[in-house]
Amino acid sequence: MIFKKGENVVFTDSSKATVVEELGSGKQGVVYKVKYNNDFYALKMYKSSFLKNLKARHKDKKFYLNLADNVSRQTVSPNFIWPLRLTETFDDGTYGYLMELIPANYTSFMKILANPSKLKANYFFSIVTKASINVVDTLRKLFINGLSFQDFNDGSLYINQDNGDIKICDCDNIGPNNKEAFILGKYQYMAPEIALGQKLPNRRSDQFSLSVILFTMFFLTRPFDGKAYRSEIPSESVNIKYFGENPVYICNPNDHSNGPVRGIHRALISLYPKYPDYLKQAFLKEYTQGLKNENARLQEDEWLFILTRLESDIIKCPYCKEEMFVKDLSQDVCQCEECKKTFTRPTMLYANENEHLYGEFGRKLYRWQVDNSRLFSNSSLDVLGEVTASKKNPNIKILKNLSRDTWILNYQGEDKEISPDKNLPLIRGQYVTINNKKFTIK
Amino acid sequence: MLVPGTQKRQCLIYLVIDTSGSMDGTKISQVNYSIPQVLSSIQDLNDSNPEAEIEVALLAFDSHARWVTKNPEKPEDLKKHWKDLTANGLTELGEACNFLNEKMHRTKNGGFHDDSAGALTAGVIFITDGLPTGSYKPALAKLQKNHWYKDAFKYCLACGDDLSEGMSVFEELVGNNECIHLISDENACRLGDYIRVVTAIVSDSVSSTIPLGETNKEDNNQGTFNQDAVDQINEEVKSIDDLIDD
Repeated sequence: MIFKKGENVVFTDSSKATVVEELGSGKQGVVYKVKYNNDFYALKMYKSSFLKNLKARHKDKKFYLNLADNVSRQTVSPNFIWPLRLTETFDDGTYGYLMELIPANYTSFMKILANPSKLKANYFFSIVTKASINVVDTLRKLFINGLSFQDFNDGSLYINQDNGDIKICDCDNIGPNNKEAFILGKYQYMAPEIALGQKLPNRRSDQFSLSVILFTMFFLTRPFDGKAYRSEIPSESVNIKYFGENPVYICNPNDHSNGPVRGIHRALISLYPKYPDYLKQAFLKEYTQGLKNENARLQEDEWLFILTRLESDIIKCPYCKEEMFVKDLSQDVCQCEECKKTFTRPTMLYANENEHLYGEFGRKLYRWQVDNSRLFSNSSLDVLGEVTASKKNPNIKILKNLSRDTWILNYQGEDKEISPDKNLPLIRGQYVTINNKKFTIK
Repeated sequence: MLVPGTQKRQCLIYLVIDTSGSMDGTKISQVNYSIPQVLSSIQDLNDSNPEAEIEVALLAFDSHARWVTKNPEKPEDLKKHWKDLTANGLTELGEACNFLNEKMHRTKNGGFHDDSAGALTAGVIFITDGLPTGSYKPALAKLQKNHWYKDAFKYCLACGDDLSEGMSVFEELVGNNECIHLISDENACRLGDYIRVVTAIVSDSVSSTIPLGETNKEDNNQGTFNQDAVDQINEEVKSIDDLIDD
């Protein structure tokens, strides 16, 4: 069904939208901008070739019912661009659904990948890390609710480059885990068992796709897009070979057969040395042990543990303002990887090697960093504190207590209460107890 | 920090344009109007495709064939030096086939296909009104053995109101009767849209979402592209036509 400007579209609840313009066309359908309830929304109309394909596989009715279920289910996170209304079925058998428009300040991840030089890259590490935490947290909410995404890939993700907020679109295939599948996904993001046709997409394969998205966000390179894959022209059989039968991780230190090539994998070669080892080890485990063994794949709480630590480890050069990761916690003097100048490392809130926080402006203390028992709950990413400048002396950094609990600061043997909304000055040589966890400020 | 990009696979689109005398008038005018516009659309495709860098190789043929692009060019580069084509002379399709055959090889063998960062299967789009004047069959037979041509997605935009005599030629060129779209006076204004649709689907072949179940492997002589790609192109082309009908 093709719409023209000004045409009305009726939904199953008898509400109506008016077509404003066509926004784009993809393999599955055409997306229009529409006016609905005096506001602008997007309308995706499926192409008959896509629906014909589903019908040939006796999936057409189930797909429609699943979409209707999603409309009535409502979103599990505002980060999803969720189906809101279902259209009536038109004479040619096609139908579609209404969803929010992706806000203009979000960039398609595919566009970022296609042309990283156009990135707003001032704070690349902060933004990409924040976005990665948001991606994991958003999918976690889906999984907790017993749902799976089925074809998570670079086309599903939009990123706000100013703050790392995200939106995930193409939510029409979401459904109860292991119940039904309507699509296989993109090979580059597909778990091996899906590429091999052994299983249908499910939460476990979503978790694999999630790790591929994370790797691609950090290194702007797909994890299996190495020299061996590049030496062949992609076809179905080539893709099954490289993503199903024998996927070789591009950074596998024990198998260089699909490694990066200088001059081609410029982003990976430039970015890889900048990240700390624990992130690289996580991907290595995922793309060696986790390839064939679904149980060895990282779970969302494990990713959040790694990613919030990664966020904590970002420091900024006081001279050129470039960001870098601290890789050695014992070092008191850091050298900027860009301008090469040396500087004293920022004050740190330190519990142990895994749980610490550098006192950079804007840095957040998450609940899980002080209370691991809450790791599996929805509150693990609650922000308990944020680093800002002291109003009295902007040169002094403070951690504002954003929690409901009182922290205990121990300074030269004396305890002092830091109540909610009060500030903890980040001055070396003090100890602070937050939710029974003791941190050294050093 | 300036983040460098990953070099993308080359996706080569051949535009093979008939500039014989029978194309003179509105047909060649439509071509000349459409090409610069479609080059901008292709540039947009490049900006949002992380896998493929589309380059264009443009071959014109009349009494002789000649490469308008000495080497494959980025769409924005070709647009900069684009000059309108003129139509006159005979329709030496055989020579065009020979030219294609000569360049459908890797760069190290003197061809146009630079696979140093990887390559995708090519697209070959013919824009012609048919009726070749010379013997083209031996040259076409040779071209059809070229594996880059064999694997390519081939599509013919057939210009003119009476194409009955040319249909068999178009079918021979593209390998089936589904990948031919007739361009009449009514829809000639959308010539650029048809080129964009074919280019988009060819360049998206590596990164598109795979539907559930077996793909339709009907043998349509479209190389590595399955019947789903043919159906998708034809649906898109039809939707462009429907807009014109309205």
